[in-house]
Amino acid sequence: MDIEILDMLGMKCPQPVLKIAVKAPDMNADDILEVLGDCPTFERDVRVWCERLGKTFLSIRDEGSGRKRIQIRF
Amino acid sequence: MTRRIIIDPITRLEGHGKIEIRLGSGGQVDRAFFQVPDFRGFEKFCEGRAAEEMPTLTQKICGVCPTAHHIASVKALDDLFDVEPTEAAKKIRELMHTAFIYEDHLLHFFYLGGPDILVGSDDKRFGKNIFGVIGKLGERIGEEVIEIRKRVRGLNALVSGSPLYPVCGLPGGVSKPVPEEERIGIKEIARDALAFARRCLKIFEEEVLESREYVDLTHLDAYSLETYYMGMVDGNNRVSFYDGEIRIVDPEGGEFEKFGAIDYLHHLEERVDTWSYMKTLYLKGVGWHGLREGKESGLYRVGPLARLNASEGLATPLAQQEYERMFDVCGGKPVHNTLVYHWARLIEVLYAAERMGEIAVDDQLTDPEIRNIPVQSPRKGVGICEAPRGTLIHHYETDEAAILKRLNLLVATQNNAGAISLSVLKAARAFIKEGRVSDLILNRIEMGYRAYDPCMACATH
Repeated sequence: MDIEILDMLGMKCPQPVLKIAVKAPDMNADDILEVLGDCPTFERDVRVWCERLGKTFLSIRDEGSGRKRIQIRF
Repeated sequence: MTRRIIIDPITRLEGHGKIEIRLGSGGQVDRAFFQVPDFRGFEKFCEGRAAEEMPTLTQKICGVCPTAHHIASVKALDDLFDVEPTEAAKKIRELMHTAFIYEDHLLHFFYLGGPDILVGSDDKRFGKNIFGVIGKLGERIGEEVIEIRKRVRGLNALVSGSPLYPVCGLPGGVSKPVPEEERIGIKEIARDALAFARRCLKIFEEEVLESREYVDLTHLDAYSLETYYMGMVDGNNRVSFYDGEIRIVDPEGGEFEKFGAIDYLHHLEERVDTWSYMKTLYLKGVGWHGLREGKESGLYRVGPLARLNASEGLATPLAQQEYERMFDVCGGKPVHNTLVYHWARLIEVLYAAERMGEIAVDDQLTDPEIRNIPVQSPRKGVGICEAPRGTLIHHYETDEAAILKRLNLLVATQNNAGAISLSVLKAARAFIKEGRVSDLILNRIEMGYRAYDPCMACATH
């Protein structure tokens, strides 16, 4: 199981989700993608993306100043 | 020795252009060139940028029709990421695009090409502008034009996030819903826009259709061009600005081709002319045979008159009545006279107002589900819409990280490029005799392109 990190601070909707979608084909089952973002709709967009794709929204940590760190299990 | 007549700059159009007319030894017109001297470079410098930037970047091609670029671009992103927008998003996009076409067409009718026919082509050269129109029709109409365009722009600011350069379009939808409490205001604007559209057609009836000069001009071969016509249509072959298939009819009105956005390269071809930065489009299925009219020439036209010629009607009742009336008065379809573009444009103003009213009462307009999240890796996307001046195509190809490798933009005025050049040549040949020119003659030549409402900034992108 690998953990990969995508730093998407400063990116506005829809770029973070697009970047996740682009990264997705490289991930294997049970890999974890950790994404860091500060777009106001970041958390909601990632949750929707996980629901649609059948991925697990594993955890979220609020790091202050609008920054959120989310882990997705593939 | 060749004598040259140069009109530089040509006026009352978007962007910069010039006309060069070459006379033979007897003073007859040998050739005429409609030239765009600007080079822009968007197709090149957008390479290497993120695809999702395109709706806000490519719209800077133009200060007049950025909404059309925003719409074509965001539709290309829908295709690129293979994501279908929600119904609410489609309604919001169509509302802003339709509102934009409404006010853009009014700009042309009252400020740009319209003064040629409203004020009279023979009036002194400095009277053929908005001030001449106000002088003829009264200050009140000037106030009303400014007021309704301001309010419709305000509607677009509400829906798209900006009165001029939209910021709302995203792959799969839009960024912000329309709040239910805004519906009343939108309905009021649509209602008043409809009333003003009807007023414009009445003005056209009284000031233009009853004008002997206009009727005589429309019968001149100088302003007639037998070409193919292209426009977007819905499932019933009715005019559609936002979405549908592209339909082409031949110079006799029969359907020639019909295709979806993704297939455009099979039907349309660009060529480079050495005398202008504007590329010329022609029909692949007919081929390029020079600046000639007729069924054997691949020249075709787009924009208001072409859309009406290429369709079988309009989807709203009042506009449909005017559509039928226009073809009755003009002797049936297709209408080849370039000056009838002005009438067709106002019929589209009426259609746009009615359509805004329909969308304003549509329940889906205020649905909060405004976006579907893209889940596919990108490769290629094509988006098409009808800009005020004609069909607009954005085509993007990217790597898997959605970084643009290649862009192809086919912009409305390029579709008309060949026809505009030929219209200018025909007008020059008709009005310049033995080398004699005057302001009146030069303006009559300019009327040959103004009716198309060309956008030079877009055309060279």
